Amino acid sequence: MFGDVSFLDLLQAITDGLLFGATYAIIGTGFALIFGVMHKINLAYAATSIAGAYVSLAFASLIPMPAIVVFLIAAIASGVVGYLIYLTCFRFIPTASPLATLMATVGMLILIDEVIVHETDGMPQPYPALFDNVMIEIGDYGLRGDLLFIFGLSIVATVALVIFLYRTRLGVATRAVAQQPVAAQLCGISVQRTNGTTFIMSGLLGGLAGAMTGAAVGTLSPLLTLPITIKGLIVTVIGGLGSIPGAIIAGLLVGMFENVALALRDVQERDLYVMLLLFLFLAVRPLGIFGKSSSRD
Amino acid sequence: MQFWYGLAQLVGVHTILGLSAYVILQTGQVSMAQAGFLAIGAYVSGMLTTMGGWHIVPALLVGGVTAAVVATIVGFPALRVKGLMFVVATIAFGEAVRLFWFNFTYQVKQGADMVGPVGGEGFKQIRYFPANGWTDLDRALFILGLMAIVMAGVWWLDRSRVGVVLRAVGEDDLAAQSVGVNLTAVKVGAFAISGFIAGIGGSLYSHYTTHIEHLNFGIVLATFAIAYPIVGGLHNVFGTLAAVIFIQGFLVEGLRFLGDWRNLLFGALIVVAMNVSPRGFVSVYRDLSTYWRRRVYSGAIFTVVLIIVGEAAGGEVVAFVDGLLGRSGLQFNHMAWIAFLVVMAVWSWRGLAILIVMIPAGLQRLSGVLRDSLGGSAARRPRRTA
Amino acid sequence: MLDLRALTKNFGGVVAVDGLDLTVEEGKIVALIGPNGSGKSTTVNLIAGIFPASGGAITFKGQDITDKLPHRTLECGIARTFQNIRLFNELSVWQNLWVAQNAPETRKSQNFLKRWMSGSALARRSVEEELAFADLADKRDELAGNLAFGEQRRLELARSLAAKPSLLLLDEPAAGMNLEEVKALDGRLRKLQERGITILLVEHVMGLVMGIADRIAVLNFGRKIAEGTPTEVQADELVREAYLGTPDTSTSQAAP
Repeated sequence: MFGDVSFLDLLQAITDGLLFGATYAIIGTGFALIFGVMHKINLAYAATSIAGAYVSLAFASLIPMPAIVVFLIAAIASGVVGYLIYLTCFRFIPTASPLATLMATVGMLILIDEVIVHETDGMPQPYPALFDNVMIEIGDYGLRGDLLFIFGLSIVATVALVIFLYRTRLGVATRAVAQQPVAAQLCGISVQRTNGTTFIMSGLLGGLAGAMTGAAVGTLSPLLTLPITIKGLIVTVIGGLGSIPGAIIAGLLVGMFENVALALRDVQERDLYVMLLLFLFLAVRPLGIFGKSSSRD
Repeated sequence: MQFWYGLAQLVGVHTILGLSAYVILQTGQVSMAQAGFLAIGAYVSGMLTTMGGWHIVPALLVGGVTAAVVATIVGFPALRVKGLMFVVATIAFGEAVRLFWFNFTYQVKQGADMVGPVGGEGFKQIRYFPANGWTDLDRALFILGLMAIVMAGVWWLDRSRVGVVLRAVGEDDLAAQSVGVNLTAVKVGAFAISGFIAGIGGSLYSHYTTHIEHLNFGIVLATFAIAYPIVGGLHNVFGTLAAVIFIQGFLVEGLRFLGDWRNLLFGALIVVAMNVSPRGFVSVYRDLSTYWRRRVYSGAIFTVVLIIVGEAAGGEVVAFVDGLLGRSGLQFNHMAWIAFLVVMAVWSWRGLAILIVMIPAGLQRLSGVLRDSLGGSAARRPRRTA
Repeated sequence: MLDLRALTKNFGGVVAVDGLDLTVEEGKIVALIGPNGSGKSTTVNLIAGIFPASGGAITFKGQDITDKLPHRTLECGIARTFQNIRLFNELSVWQNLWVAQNAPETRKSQNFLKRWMSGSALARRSVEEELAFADLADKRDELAGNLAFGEQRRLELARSLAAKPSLLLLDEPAAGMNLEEVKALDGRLRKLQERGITILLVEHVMGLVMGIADRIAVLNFGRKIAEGTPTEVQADELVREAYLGTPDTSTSQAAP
């Protein structure tokens, strides 16, 4: 299996995968944030990310702007879309109907995808990358500049999130609502407003991830939604439900694993191996890396 | 009539798919694996009839049993995880099955051609029905008949002790276990039954479409599979049938003239549907007064009459309306839907009351929800929203 | 009948049950009391098999049941109720009892097909009996979630009896009850004792405990600090300090 792949190639694959895995880590974090608070999954999350990236593209084509601003717009746009999803799928549906919420998010996923398809006539759009012509070379081994940038950006975003959750009042309110919504209300915290904010935060992250994916891949297409959703879910499961550190580690792990599988086998089989990784985790450690255990089944 | 036979077959197969999800959803586990089981049934039975020369009925059964066996094997590890993890595990399983068929090639020589599945290209030439002289009507009746059998089976399951135990497990599996229910046996058993049903559905699917490929069995189909029982309501098999008719008949087929905009409306309608009837159509139907139930029934009968008359008078009516609208190409079935909508809008002052139960009661409920969230009456039983 | 030896349970860093030794004799009513967090509910959960023990052993009628899952301990003859009522709210009263017909003798009376489809006459009769005992016969078709609180408690008790247990674990059955209801519960428990059922009772309502228990074990921080008859326990110094309280203020701490 290692026959025609040199050690250096393998190292390259691992590094590239690790760096790209940062996008999965961010998506996983976004999922974890929502799950931690709502205890429900937002299947429209990947659509949120991609939508934000598209909006930023729209702005970029109107006004020339540095790529970093494009990323920011993507984040903000996704934040808005995230809030919209909160309104349509979580705000009015009773907490006792998780299935209805699930289906509603699916409906939004379809809706957002279709709007994108309509506006772009289904054609993939090129996405600006940052530092894509930068390559740090160490002999035959190279660190892609654009991937490094993405990795760095992810670190910044994660740190910002942690500061928000642990150092700001709104962040504490978010964690309070996640743990005991009724008690939080009794303390004067508006559950609706806090949850709306959570969705905006996860939307911001998502938009960033969407922009990063677009930049890393080079193009943006509505077909990205499904694979990103699946990867995000896999990362969430491997990392442990609702755990942000778990999502981060799992994201990097999946990114690395995926790229290595790609290097060793071919594109056809790559996804199959990611599935097998998931099954492995489910069989061996169903709660994920940092999952909390409840009672025995 | 061609169109109606096709629609009947589609509704039949999708209802079976929906019922397979219905069984496992009762235990409180959301499974996205149904499309995978459908695929297994489809490919296996297709191979048996096309390459092995089998008769359709044993091929169907073997397709179902194979899917059930796979379900049992996958069920044991998968059912150790709950809730969301299970959803993801089943998504992964469904994708794994799809990828498996994507990479699977096996052909035999028959006469001058090679038949059998060819990886990415799919499995063409599943020609059992045409080769054995089945007419459209034969096929439609066969599929609807099987659908009725499956519905009867699940309906009876609901009424037996199995159904009660399934729902108990779905409600509180810890309590169920504490009163002596063997959770693993029940959950894996339900998974196997749902696998069997989906396998049968898949076998029918591959035979009536005659050409299948891995892309048919993706996440979208898996989502449809769970959408039917969720939208229809988890306490009654007829809800699933109603949801299939609504989604496939009305949304997918009836709105086909909307072209590209159809999917958009589809997504939007699901969001609306879930907000106004979170517990499914059937629960909304139950809440309807006799007055509205009568309206629904008469509306349904009216549509059927309209369709029959239209098919008979067909051509002239279409030409007439085409002339009116100054365009061409609308088919009669779409006109029937439009006409029905118009008539119902006129007949019922409350707005668009259509065959689907949801909207009139739903509007009532929507206004109630809005009222509640703006600080409404305390007399209503409080529903916690977030 | 039931023997706990050095039973221990850790949750992460927290030791919920710490080397507990307890014996419950057949036919007796034993109460487990103590302050909140002393490990009473955890002990019940361990016996029932909700989670595995970290150490020690549980023996029932000579059989080791330490690692058995809840549905297996039920088969051995141990049933339980929950502190926060866990009924199947969407099922009717009758159906709640129907689901619980899993006693070995009921199972033997029906073959596989019968058990899953219509159920045997024995099972149905058993449901009727329990309905009568719980005084819920007229509410049989009512959804469990719609019952009044007291009725829900009676239903939960009836459901646990459906399995024909020889040992009943009751987790705070009197919680939330007024004096009338506690008296009625006392009566029902005595009737169960007459039927020959052994009862292990976790409770805070001392009126019930002191009146009905044959023996009381007192837990504090997961350890047994006293055991004996109600009179003995009431007089015990340790117990008073930890839980019951002293009759006079004398040397107790002043409030800040």
